Amino acid sequence: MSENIPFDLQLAIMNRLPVKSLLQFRTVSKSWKYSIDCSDFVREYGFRESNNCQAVVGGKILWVIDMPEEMLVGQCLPPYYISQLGDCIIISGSFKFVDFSIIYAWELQVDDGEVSCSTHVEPSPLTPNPVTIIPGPAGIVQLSSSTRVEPSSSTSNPVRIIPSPAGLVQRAKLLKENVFILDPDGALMSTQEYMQKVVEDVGEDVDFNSGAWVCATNYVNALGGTVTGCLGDIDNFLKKEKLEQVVAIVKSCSPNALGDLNVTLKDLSGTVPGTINYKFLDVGSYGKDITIEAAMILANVSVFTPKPSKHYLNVTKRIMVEVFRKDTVLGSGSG
Amino acid sequence: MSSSSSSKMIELRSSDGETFHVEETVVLQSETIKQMIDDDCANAAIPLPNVTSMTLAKVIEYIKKHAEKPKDDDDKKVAEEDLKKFDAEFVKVDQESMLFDLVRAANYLNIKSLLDLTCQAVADSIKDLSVEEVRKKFNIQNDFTPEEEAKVRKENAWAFD
Repeated sequence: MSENIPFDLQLAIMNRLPVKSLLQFRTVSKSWKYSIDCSDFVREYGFRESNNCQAVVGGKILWVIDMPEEMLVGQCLPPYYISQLGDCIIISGSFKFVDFSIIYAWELQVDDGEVSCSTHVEPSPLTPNPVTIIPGPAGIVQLSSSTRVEPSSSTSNPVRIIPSPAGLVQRAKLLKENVFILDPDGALMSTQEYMQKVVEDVGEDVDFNSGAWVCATNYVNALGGTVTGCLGDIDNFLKKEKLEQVVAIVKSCSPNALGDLNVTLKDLSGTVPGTINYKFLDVGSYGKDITIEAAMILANVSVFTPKPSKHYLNVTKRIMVEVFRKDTVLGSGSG
Repeated sequence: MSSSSSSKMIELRSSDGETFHVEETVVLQSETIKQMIDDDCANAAIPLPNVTSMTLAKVIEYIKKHAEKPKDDDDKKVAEEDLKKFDAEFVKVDQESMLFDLVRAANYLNIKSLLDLTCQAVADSIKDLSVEEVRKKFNIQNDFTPEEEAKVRKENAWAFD
């Protein structure tokens, strides 16, 4: 009997399944369903599959699957995801990915540059979020007669198809290197506006109300810095493969076979996996302090990017500015 | 030894105590071992407590094949074809548990191309299975209530036709 395959390897395997199997296997278990519906998974899957042209829009996220990589415009970035299908730019919205209440399945064929597509749409009566589809030059995307793109009566933001000026596709191509961020009305937001929104949004997140987090924030502020989020948008913050500053909370941590710690770090904008070097754990008292819910301040963090959509942080002693234990109480930290 | 190649030999020890001698240039395909060598931890035999001798032998067969360097461009094309064939044959293992062992070993040793290859082979082997068979294969507990499962099934009813 073979031992079990750890979940991260199950994920790697899921990543290589055809979309039909993948959707079917959403019923394997809750963790499979959650993972398959998760934006990071979808994004990585989109990058990997690159043969046919097929896309599935699920719930509040858009799946772009089997897309030639050069056709992808922009990136999946919470809360919005923009991509290009042939001559069609597709944007979908919303921050929450867990609820898979609508399934849009697209089957696109590209013949001589023409995209034809047949669509299965199953809107759920509970859809709270808009899906916006912006085709390129009119007539390129032909929806088959079986298409039903209609919002349910309780949908506050209807699904809408907006024909665009012919120039949009070209502009989008020019913007290819940039990240698109849309506000809920569909307007482009600047990175600063986005960050501001992220900072406002985290008010409700208990992680960012913990003593450790508040102390870390105070520490940075006392040094004249500001706490921002960069993990959700590493590509944009990366300078010479490094992040200048990361202030994050440890969401999970487990030792691996080499004695290093595998951790998940969460900051105001997102969550990223990382490894804490074992040599560092032996030195001083940090080893004991790094637990789930501890907060860390890191400077000049090296980021390992094995593929476009995947980042790992490499945490060594050199880059560690300060660790705040999870039971840090306000007022006792700065001493 | 008076071998023409001057590459250093690295000694690897499997979980069941068997030792393997592999050229350093070959073994560097494993990021994990590369790290150990860089950190100067590879003076004695490198213990690989998570990998059995049977799996390790397969892994070494793989990295040796993938370390072969073509001489010129013509040779390169032939070598690429050859490597493709080798990869296809490599994942045709008798026992499925071996494939799982290879996935785990590739992950532990951090050999990306082998991990890609073996994960793809597992994906190919499960893609047409039923949900129940997949659970069994990975030893996954179904934690949905029947109602929840029915709801998810309904969401992607079209995927089942």
